[in-house]
Amino acid sequence: MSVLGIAKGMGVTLSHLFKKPVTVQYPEEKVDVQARFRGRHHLLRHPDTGLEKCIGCSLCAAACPAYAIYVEAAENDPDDPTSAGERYASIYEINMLRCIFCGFCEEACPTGAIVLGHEFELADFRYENFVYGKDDMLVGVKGSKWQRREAERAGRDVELGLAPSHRPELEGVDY
Amino acid sequence: MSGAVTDTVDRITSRRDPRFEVTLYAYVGVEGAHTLDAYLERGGYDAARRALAMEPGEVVDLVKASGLRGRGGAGFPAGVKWSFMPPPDGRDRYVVCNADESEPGSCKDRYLMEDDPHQLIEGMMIAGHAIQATTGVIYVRGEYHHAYERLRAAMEEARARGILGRGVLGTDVDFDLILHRGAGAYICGEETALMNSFEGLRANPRLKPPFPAQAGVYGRPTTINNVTTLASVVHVVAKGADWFAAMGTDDSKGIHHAQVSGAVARPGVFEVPLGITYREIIHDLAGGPVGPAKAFIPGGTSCPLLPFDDAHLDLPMEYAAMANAGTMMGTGGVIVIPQDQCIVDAMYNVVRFYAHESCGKCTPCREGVATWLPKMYQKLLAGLGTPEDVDLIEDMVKNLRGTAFCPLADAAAWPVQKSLELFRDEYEYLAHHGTPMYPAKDRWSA
Amino acid sequence: MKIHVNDVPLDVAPGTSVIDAVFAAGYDVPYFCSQEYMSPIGACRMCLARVGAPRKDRATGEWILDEATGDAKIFWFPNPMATCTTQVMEGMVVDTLSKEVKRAQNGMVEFTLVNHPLDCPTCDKGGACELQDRAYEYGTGESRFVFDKRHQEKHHALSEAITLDRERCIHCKRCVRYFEEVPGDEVLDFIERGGHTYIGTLEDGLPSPFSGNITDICPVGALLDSTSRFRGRNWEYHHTDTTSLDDPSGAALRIDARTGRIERIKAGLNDEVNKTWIDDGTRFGHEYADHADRITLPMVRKDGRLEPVAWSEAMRVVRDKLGGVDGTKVGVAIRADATLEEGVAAQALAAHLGTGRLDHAPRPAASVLPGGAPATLRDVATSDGLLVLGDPTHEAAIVDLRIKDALKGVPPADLLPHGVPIADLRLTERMPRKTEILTVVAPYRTDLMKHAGRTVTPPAGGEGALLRALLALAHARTEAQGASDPGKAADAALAGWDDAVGMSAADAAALLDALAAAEAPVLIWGGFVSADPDADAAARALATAVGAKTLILGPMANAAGLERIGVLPSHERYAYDPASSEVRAWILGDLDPAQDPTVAKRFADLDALIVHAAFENATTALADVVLPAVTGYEKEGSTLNAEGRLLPVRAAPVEAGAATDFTGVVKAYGEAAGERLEGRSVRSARRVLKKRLDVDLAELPDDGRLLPPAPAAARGARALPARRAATGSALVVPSLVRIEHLDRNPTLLREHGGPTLRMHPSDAHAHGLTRGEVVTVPVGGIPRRLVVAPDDGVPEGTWLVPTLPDQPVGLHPLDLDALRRERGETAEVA
Repeated sequence: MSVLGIAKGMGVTLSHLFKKPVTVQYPEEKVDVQARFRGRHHLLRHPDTGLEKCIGCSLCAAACPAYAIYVEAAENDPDDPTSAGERYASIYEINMLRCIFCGFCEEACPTGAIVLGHEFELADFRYENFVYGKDDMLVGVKGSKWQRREAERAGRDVELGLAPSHRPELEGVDY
Repeated sequence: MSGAVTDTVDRITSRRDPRFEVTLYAYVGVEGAHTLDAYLERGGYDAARRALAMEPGEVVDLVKASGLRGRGGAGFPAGVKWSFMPPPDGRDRYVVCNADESEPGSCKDRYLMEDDPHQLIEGMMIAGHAIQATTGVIYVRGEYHHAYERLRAAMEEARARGILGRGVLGTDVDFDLILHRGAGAYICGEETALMNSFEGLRANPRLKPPFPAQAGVYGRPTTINNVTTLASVVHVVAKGADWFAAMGTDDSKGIHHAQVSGAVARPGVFEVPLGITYREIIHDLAGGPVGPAKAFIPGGTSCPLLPFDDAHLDLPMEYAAMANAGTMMGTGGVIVIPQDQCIVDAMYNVVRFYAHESCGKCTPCREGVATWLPKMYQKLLAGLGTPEDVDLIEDMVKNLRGTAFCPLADAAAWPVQKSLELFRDEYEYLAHHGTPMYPAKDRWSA
Repeated sequence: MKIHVNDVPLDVAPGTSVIDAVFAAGYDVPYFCSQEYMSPIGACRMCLARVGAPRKDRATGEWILDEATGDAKIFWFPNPMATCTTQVMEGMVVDTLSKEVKRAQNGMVEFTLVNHPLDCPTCDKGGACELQDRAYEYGTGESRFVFDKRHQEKHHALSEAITLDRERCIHCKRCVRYFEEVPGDEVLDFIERGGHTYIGTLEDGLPSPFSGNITDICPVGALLDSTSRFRGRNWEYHHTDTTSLDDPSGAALRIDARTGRIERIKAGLNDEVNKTWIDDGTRFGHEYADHADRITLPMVRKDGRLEPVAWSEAMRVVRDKLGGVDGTKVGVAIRADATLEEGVAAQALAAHLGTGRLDHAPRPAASVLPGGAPATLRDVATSDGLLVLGDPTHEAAIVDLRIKDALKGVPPADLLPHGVPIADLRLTERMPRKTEILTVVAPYRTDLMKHAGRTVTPPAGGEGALLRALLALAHARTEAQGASDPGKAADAALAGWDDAVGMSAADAAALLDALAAAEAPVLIWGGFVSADPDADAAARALATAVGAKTLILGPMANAAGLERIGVLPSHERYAYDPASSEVRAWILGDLDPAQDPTVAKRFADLDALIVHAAFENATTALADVVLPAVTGYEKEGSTLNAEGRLLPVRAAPVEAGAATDFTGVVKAYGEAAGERLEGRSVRSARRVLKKRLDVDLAELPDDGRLLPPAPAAARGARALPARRAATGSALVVPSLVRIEHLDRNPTLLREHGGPTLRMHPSDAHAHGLTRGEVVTVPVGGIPRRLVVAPDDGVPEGTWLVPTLPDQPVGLHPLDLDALRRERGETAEVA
């Protein structure tokens, strides 16, 4: 290796000394995520009717390479429907420990009901707290189970370590 | 009596020939001709007497020799059909008269039944004797109420005089008739659907084989013929096979009925010898088209239409010639389509009819003929079509042809296909402009 | 016949359909309307192929040759042919791969999808749908149909158990044909025509005991099993192929379970037994297994209350309790739908305890093992002379269907390389049925009677007299043939005939003539005959006299098997009798004798009452120890059906806590007692059975294996003692629906209605009973809660009550004076 080569390499290092660092002082600072970042799942509703988009077809569970999703369906009450179809998901669970955030569930969904959002702070203490149900994922729920628990304990709003971002598929989800 | 046809007989191939005289329709339109007395007075039931004196096989041979072909549309030789019947086994066998005349453009059977019902009854007796059936069934189209009443009265008269029932006409042959009125379904003109309907089942066509001669009505051997075919048999027996075979052409012998409708001066039913040209039928008999015409349907709407030009008008009314021209002689219901009639609209009328009459048994007919095709026409006629829709109709019709269970889908597909072949410009004009080349008129005012 | 399918040369039997030839050659064509066991009709037009055949010159009779090649010239049919309705011809050439064929198939998929809603994500058939598969394989992937699809009713309840989605229907007519062709109950048809055609029925549901099969054969999601509606997707189910333990026909089942619950039961395929059909009682009667009140832990009575404990502790209590009882005074009884392996376990337990009081219940008075020539179900289906005594529809439903097969006169088709022929051209719609070959004898009007050419209604319990009279007549006629004047002697034989047996002398003679004329006569009898040893003996003798094979329908699934391996008392004195005062301790497998108050009273002062049960009942309420039992769906083992076929029983994954089958009980007991008992596991029981039956049950194929009849000597060693036939005015009749589980099967209960008390309308009138009224009446000591259902098919003076495992088929005393009306309560009567 020539001296020139070493100098060239050192040059790169040196030039970075004078650049603005990319380090984010998380959690003091908010993290900027890319638009297509895949974080915690959201279960969407039809914006106009408020009905759940999920029809309990279980295709997400079938597509899931990590077997993280469990769906149990039930028939809609025609007078008071939960979803727009014949059936809805009476149980919808994702095991966030198993989930690899590949987004296959989103691709498999025929109604666009499940979309991977930008939330990523899912750490928790107990296994059971990683199993997210419908109550934890439906539109309007902000934050992970732990964040919501903490917010409730402290009596303040859930605060995400996430800079305001936007994903067009996430109708009604607001960061 | 010999049934052999001699070649020396000169053929009558045009109605203008002075040797031709109207036979089947001789008493149609004659007041009081439908009663038994009137019928007996003009020599009625003599042919039946003669036939009953013959061996059944002889009658079959006679009809075979006459070259009589089925007048319901398919044109299967009647005598050959009769000879398919298995030998008697002592149990029931049936002769069925298909009087469910539903093909749009056809009306020949109606007048035969209304004005000369005994001619049909006599024909059925002869057929029944030939195939050794003791029960006949006349399945009358539901809408033909008058024909039904006349036939019922005629049967009662005949029974009262010992013409029907046990030991008919003083012989030891038993024969009686069942008169059954349909409930208004085109598909019942299909022989096996007719049998299902008669048995009280859903009028779906049956699988063939077994053919009716093996398993027809109630699973028993059955022969089924058209009204005109059976009425013709009377005259074949009365006047001989030679007389019948002398009319028409080598391929199509005897007499037929041209039922002319559409834009002609004098629509009506005309008894003609086969081999007559369509020019004679349309111009000479029906008084010619009113205004310029662009096409004609030679044998009921299920037959592909032909352009109204010299080459096609000079075609003889004959099974083979029509098949060569890519169409069919069918029932002989000639419909003349005027130049200013939008062909898309005309075809929609045809398609709508078949869509309404599809029985729903098989997929292409139920989904193609009954659902998709009329919707495509509606789209075109509403001015919403695109040139791709015309291609789609053409493609769909190709998928329909020959794939369905019974010929009903073909009956809808053929005219459409032919109309696309002949008048594609009208379809494309409509698709491009949203309005037809010839604006729609009130169909009933012409 | 030699044919070619896409250049694969093939030799097939004449009469084969082209579609079967195509499959036999290893090629595929799509189809929807054909179904293996029904007539081909060519309605869906999916199976189109190009077909050609050589022709013979009319004049010379020689094949017309192709001038270029010198081979026989192939004349192609002008249109693509529906291969399911086309027969093969000598030299035929079939093309399923060309562009024209693909085009025709594409077009047909497109037509089929024109009005089919693509709601696959919400459809229960999704993932197991023939249309989905075929559209994927043969469709173009897109539709050019841009209009609104047909809108029709989406959730039409055809019956309580079957939901119809009329939009999804593709009009293949399988369901309509099924009802006419298989059970012969025409309850469904197309309504309207053309594009408006839909499936419909009369307003009173689907009155057929075999209605559920239409959900299996529907190629799309139009007909769905309501018990599993929206319960899971097809790929999520765990499939268990097993054998029904509901009745002795041994029907193959496929149990679909998910997360520890049975979600639905579908018919399995066993060409020799049930083909692909099962009855509604079997199909819809599974909900009880998932019921919330299952016993999931062993329980021991402490201070008068049952407390859940561990198996080991429960078994210590059992051991201690039994330790204080004289071994010969312990009774062991298991239910007659226990597996053979459980039978071995019960035998081992009884042997260990040193008791001869071992039995299975219900066990009829007479043996249910056929002597002489046993008939298989195939023999039934190919018989040309059938004498049926009893009510097979309810005793062994599949036998009913196989009898109806015989009426069609079409023997089962030979298997082809791809299995059962897809389109058997010998079958047609609305085939004439040879009802004249079938004679049905039952003391009331049974379902099968409407298919029988001859029906005989003897008085209840009168089968013995009738059979003895027939036997005497048969013998007399045989002797008459040898007499000097046979005609006169035959008349003399008839002279002593008493019409009171239920049929006239002329009918009897005609019946014997029909059986004698038949080439393969079969005698089938069930519980009414087996309840009376004299009737049973006469039936066996009659079968011998007319040279008929015999099929005996036992009271429960494995009654024949348990009898065969000898789960029997050492002496008839020791037969299962819960009211016996000699027994000091009982070990009961899934039996509930304490429903009878006198038995309950007797049980109160037993030294030990150990009950192995899946649900709490009158007997567990008195038990010292209750052990959790699995249901028939969760057992591993084998069973022997009525025809003597060993069939595998496999366990579906159902969440049932610590429940086990009887081998588990014996294992736990052995551990507590410090003994390794035979039958402590299925494997150990199978080792024993291998020695006894010479069959390795672990290797049993899915469609089972016929067990040769036991040698006569072996049967003689355990000669069944004669028990007297019971008397009474209540006739306990077999029931297709298992009454003991009905309360926990909500769908089936709605569909079937509650258990009925059937009587002649005049009897109902005389007792002031009205239809639908709920009454409680003691039948043979057991208070039965029943719905009044007057029925003119019941003779006057006879009251019909459906059977329970603790109340076997036959006559029982009925105490009408103690009849109590449940005031104000009424129920629907089917």
